[in-house]
Amino acid sequence: MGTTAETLLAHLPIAIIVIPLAGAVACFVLPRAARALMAVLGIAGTVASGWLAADVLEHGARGYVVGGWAPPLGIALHADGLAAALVALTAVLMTVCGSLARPRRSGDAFFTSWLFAWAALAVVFLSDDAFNVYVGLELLGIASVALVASPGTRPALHAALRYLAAGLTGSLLYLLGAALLYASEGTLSFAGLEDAGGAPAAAALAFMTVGLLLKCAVFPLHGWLPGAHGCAPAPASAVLSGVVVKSGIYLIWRLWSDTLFGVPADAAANLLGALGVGALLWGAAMAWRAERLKIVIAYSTVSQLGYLVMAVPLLRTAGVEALAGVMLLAAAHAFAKAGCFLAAGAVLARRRSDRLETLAGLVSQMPIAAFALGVGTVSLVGLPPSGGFAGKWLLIQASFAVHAWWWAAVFIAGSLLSAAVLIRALAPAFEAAPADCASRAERAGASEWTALAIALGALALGPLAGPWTSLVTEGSIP
Amino acid sequence: MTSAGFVIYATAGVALIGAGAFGLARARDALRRIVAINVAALGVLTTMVALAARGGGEADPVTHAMVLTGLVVSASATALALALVRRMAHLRGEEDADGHDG
Amino acid sequence: MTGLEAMLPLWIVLTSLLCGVVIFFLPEERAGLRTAINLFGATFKLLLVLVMLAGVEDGQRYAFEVPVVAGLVFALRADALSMLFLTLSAVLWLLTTVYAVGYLEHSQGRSRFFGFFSLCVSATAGVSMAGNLFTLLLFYEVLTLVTFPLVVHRGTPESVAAGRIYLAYTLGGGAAVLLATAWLHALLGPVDFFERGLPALRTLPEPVLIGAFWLLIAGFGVKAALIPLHGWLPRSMVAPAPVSALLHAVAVVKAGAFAIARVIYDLYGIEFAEFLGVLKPLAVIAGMTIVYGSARALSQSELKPRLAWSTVSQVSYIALGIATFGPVASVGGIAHLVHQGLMKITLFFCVGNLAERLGIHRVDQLAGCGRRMPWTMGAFTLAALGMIGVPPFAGFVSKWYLATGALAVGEAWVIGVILASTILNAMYFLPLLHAAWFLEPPEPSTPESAEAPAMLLGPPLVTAALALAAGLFAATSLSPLSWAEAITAEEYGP
Repeated sequence: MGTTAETLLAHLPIAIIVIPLAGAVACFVLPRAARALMAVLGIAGTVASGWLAADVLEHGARGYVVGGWAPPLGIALHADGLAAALVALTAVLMTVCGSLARPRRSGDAFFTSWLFAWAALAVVFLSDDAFNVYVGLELLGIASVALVASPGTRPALHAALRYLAAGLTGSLLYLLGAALLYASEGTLSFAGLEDAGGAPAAAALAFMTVGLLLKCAVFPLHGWLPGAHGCAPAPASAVLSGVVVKSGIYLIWRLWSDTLFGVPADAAANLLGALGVGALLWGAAMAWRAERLKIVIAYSTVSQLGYLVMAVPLLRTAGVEALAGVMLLAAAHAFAKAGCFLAAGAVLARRRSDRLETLAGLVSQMPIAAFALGVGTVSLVGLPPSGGFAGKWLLIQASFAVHAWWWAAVFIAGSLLSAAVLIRALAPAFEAAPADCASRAERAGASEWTALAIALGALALGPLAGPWTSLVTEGSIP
Repeated sequence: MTSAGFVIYATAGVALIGAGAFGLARARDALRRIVAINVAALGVLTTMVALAARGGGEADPVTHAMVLTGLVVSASATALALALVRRMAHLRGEEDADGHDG
Repeated sequence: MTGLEAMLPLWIVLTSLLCGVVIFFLPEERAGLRTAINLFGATFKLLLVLVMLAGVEDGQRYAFEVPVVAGLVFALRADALSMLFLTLSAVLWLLTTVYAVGYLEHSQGRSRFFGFFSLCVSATAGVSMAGNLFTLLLFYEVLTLVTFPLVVHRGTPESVAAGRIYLAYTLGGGAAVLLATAWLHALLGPVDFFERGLPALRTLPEPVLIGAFWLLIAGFGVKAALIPLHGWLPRSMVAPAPVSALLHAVAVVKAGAFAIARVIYDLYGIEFAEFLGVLKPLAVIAGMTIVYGSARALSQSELKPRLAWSTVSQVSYIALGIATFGPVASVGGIAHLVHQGLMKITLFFCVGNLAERLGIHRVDQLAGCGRRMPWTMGAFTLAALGMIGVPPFAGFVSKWYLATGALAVGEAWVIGVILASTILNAMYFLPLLHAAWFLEPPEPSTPESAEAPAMLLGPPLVTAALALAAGLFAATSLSPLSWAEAITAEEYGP
């Protein structure tokens, strides 16, 4: 490999952050060119992320020090398999969903916020110390709130404010935890914290975890999510549910199974697991009562995040096998949820309403959107051959491997619960349209085809589970 | 910083966090919530300043850097929140105006 | 064996999969193209199946394996039992496609219908060729998913409600199978199907084995309509006739019965299952289903539900045959897989014709229709006599083997069950035949025949003839019976 390629490769981690960051600024300065910039940068960012992932798969984790200034004063980035996989997932979803976004006015800061969110996610995933993560989380929070508020309607602004309040409170808790950690350990870098132990570290872990739970809407701190994801424009909801909430969960995984593993917190880990079960049940119960398709999908996110949190005790005991399973579940959820939101957005746009009782005739009138919803549901429920099934299978195997068979029962029961909820919402789509409506299929728009393509990505993760898990477990927790 | 100084700043920090949390729980509208969160944020940052000087001698610059970053972030987020509140009031004003006309 | 030939199992699954995908995107109006693709796909698949059949007869072993993740392997295999089910479904798919094209000529949503129809056949092929428990589970669940849109195709509230009940039952069953599969996997690693049972299985403790067994039977028993898991079947009769014909005579219910056969023969092994003591309870459940299904059929006043309950009853003959420990009874059970498929599909085709041409849905509307649709009713009569078990029809052959086999191992109660069921069958079929042939039609019959057109008439005539042949020529080496004997010999052999 030539030295130019090697230099490029060496700088990939920072490039992945800088590309969307520079793009955000450019979109702000040149709003007319925002869509074109978005397309170009999307492709560049996706290529860079894909390259990084391929490199990590082959050669293992890669580090980078910004500006050559060593920590603790400088910023260090660390791209292991898990981070690279999440970065790639972000790039794909951000690019694809971003291409569908239609902001209200072209002078809007929509694309600026979009690209800031992307950069922030990259910062969170690639950072190697707890404070850089804080900066990333803040940027992410502000950008996401802007995306939620972008429709400009009363409900959207209200939801955005609630999101902001929750996000800020969460950040404060996280910051408090980070401060405690620094006070007791003297360092905030993830590598340096691996030997942390004792009461201050435990308290810090508790604060940081609660803060992160608030930021990613895990039961019982999930109140802001359905409103925010329900009111945001469909592409924004797609990435919010798809990747943004995963950032907090990613940090929780890192802290509990990798960085602060030494902290004796097994009972607390089981408490987190119990919260996960609570999320699963509560999300399902609220989705059962919801009357709009987008709200059902948003509560389904609350439910599915429960699985990701339930994995924490398994990650501590079962290690790599659980990590593979939970990342499959996370990626499959990202694709399936994005596909569902985009399809629901298309339904809303075409029919002016996404109320469940008006869905009759959807299957004949908007077959592509209906099929996308169906494929997404298959993955969310965890039926073969989707990635959702593969993820659940691995987690069930991990539970059996550590003799924690009750988790296996929970995963299976959760599938049935999700199935009941989603089928209740979507079955009306199969009913024949009311007699006065045409039942011919209308031409599908770009958003419907994109929704289908993304949802099929969730399905493809089943057969492709092997390569994905190899990437994710590369250089990660032992 | 002396030990007494540390205690004062730490106590002040914790008190501010408490005040902010109390205000957040009791807040009825968005503006009050924003103010409460700001107070709590200042409390967290003050505590961090106190922690920075705990060992006696030179204060730790890394923590000060963190505090400064925290201040900047808090200010930006507050700005966003206020902009949202203003926009909502504007919309409400428009609605009231429409209501009167209609 | 060249590389291409070795991948035959995969090609067979892919043929209908690709056809289905193409058909989905065809515009509704391109009926001719769609029919052409449908028929081409069905014929091509049948050809591939026959090629593979010839190979298996010669002793070739086809296997296709690809690892998925962490010890999970996707495996397709063709052995005698798979070929039995596969050939049956390939032949009947072709015939049902012809029928469906005629039946749905003026309906809505045909592209969607035929797309899922093709996918359903793919899934059935996958079930028949599954080489390990994971692959069986995979295709079993996929079958559930792709049959749902077919059940709700009409779009009426009853259809959608029936579809939801179908999903509730089948997904629940799937969850039971998943639990058992994951459990066995965690304890054993890959759970392959092995002739006469997987040796590694015997190392597990008995409670685990028995627990896993009942989980698997419960899960697969939902589709096989064993009581009390049968509730979805009568309700799914709201689906259009081709759906009821193929799915509920062949694909779905037989998949359940086939899966039970696989579990008992190639996972546990018949001798080991007997040792564990699980066969007797299963036989009892099957026996109860047989009698209960026949009794409920008697009380139905509509034709399709009557046939549905009859299916509930008849499919359990297969389970009864397998669960009766003895080669002769097993031969009867396995042969019945084919016999019942042929006879039941004929009945559904004919009932569909009656509904389409004469608007007959109820039993009391059958008077005189033998004069007005003689060929349809002729096929119906042949099939009904076969179901009752009149020699020399196929149904008689299976019942005979079941009875003599049961007697040979001292399970005389089985004979009682068969006798009771036969009497009940007669009680709910003979009146239909009597009304059709010997009563006067309500209004004077029109001069021109109300007989169904060729596309709707051909398939039932073919399947009726096959059912007759299966019985008449049962002793020849080409019959389903000989096939069943070959399969059983492998399982019980020295």
